[in-house]
Amino acid sequence: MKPDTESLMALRPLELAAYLRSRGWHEAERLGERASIWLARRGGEELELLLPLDPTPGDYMSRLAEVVSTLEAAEARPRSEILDDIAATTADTVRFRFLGPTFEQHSVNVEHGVHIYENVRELLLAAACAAVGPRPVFSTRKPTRALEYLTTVQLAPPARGSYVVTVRSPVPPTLAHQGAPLPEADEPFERRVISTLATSLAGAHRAAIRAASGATFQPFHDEVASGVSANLCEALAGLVARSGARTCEITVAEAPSRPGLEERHVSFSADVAPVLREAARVFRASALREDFELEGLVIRLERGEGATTGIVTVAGVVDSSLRKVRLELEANDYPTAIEAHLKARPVRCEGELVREGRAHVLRHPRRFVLKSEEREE
Amino acid sequence: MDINQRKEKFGEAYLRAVASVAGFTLYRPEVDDDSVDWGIAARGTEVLRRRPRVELQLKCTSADVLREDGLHFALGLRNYEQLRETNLLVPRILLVVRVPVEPGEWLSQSERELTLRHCAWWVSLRGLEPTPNTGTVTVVLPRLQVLSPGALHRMMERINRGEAP
Repeated sequence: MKPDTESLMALRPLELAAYLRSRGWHEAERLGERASIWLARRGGEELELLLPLDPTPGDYMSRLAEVVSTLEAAEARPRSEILDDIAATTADTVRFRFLGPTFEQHSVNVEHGVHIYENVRELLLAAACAAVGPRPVFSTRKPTRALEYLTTVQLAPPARGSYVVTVRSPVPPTLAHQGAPLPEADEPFERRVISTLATSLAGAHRAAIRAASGATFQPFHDEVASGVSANLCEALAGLVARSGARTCEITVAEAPSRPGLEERHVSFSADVAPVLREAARVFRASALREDFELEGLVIRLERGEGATTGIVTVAGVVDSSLRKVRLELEANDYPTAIEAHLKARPVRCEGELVREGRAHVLRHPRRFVLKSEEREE
Repeated sequence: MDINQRKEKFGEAYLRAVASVAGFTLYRPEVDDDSVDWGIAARGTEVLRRRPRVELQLKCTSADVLREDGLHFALGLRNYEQLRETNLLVPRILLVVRVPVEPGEWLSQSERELTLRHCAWWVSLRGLEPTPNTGTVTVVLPRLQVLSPGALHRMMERINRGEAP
C-alpha cells in the first residue's frame, strides 16, 4: 500500500533515525548533510535504506515513502503500526487502558470521555508538579514549568481494540558521552515528569492497598516523597470512578531513543477510588496549602488595646464547605477588615492555609482587599 | 488497448529487456510523481534497493523525430521542470523509445532472434536552464546515448562514483 502524502509529511528524519537505531539498523554511510545509508540484517539478508535528512531535495517524499515501504516489508507489519511507533520513538509513552462493560463497544460516551481526558490531564499535571518538588497538595497556582510541560504532551490517535488513551511525552534522545550515566536529577525535565509519574502511580497503588487494609492514612503520607499528592489521588480516583471503567490499567514506557526508564504497569480498579478520594480529602484537610485564595465575609474582629496587629475571622469556602478561617492582620490591613465588616462586603486574601486542631488558619496573609463590587454581580 | 497505452507498454517491455540483460532491477516509484515512471537499481529486490540507482521518465514515440544529432523530443513543460531539478538524492533521466508507426512492425521474430524496433535513447536534463515556453520544450537525446545493456552499466558506474548519469 502506498503511504499517503500527509502521513509522510508528518515524519521527521531525526525521529526516523532514532527509530531505525532502536530496531537494529545502523548508519553505514553519510551522504553529506542530505541523506544517509542505513543497513540491517534480517535473517541472512542485508537490508539497505536511503534516509533523507534534509527536506529540500525534489525526491524527498519519494525517498521517505521508500523508507516506510522497506520497513513495512522488513518488519512484516502494517504501515499504520510502524508510523505510530516511529512517532513514539522520541517520546515516553503513558497508556491508559479502560476495561469494563461500558467499553466493550470500543467507544465511550461523551460524558465519560470528558472525565477521562480531564483526569489524564490532572494526573500529568500532578506528576509534573511533583517533579518540580513533591508536596502533599498542589494549590491552584501551579509551577510555570509544570504548566509549560503540559503543552508539550500529545495524545496519540486512538488505536483499535479496547478503549486506550495514549499520551506521548516527547523527550530529547540520549547522546552518547564519556563517563558514567547521568544521575536522575540531571535528566531532562520531561523525563523526570514521566519517571515521577511511574513511581507515584506505584506509590499510590501501594498506599491505597495498605491504607484500606489498615484503615489509616499514614501510607499515603509516607508516599509523598515518591510523588503522591491529593491531586494525583483525585485524578486517579476520577479515572477509575468517573470514566465508567471497572479497571484502568496504566503503562508507562520509555522512549526507545532515551533508555533508562523501567517500564511500569499499574492497574487501578474501581474499588480503590473511594480510598483515593478519601486520601485526597485528608491531604487537603491537613496539609499546609501555599497560595491559598480565601474569599468570604469578616465575621469577627479582635484587637487588643494598643496592639498593632489584629485577629480577623473570615467565613469562607474551603474544600467546598463554609469554614471559619482566622488570620492575623497588620495595622495597615486591619482597617480594611473593619470596613468590610461594617459594610458587610466580602474580602479576598492570599496566604498559606493550615489546619490547627479543628480550626483553619491563613498564615502570612497578603493582598487583603475588599472584593470588588463588579465581581459581586 | 488504445495506441498510446500500447506504446507505453512496449516502451516498458523494451526497458525491461535492456535492464534484465544488464542484470539490474526495475522498480516503480512509491509516490505518484509525474516525472518518474521507473527506477533502475543495481542489485536487489523490491525491498532491497541497492545503490547505485537511477530513476527515469519513459516516453515512446512513433513521430518522425530522428535527426542527424539525435532524437528531437517535445517534452511537456512540467516533466521538463522536474527533470532539470538539480537537488535530488537519486538522479533522473529521460528515456525515449522510438517505434514505427505501425504496431505490426514494432516486433519481428524468428527461431533465431527477436527484434524490437527501433531504439531507445536517454538524456539527463539535470541543471538545464528554465524555459520561457508554455506548452512543450524540445529536448535532444544525443544519437550516441543509446540505452544498451553496456551503456546502462557504464551509467550506473558513473552514478556510483557520484558523477552525473
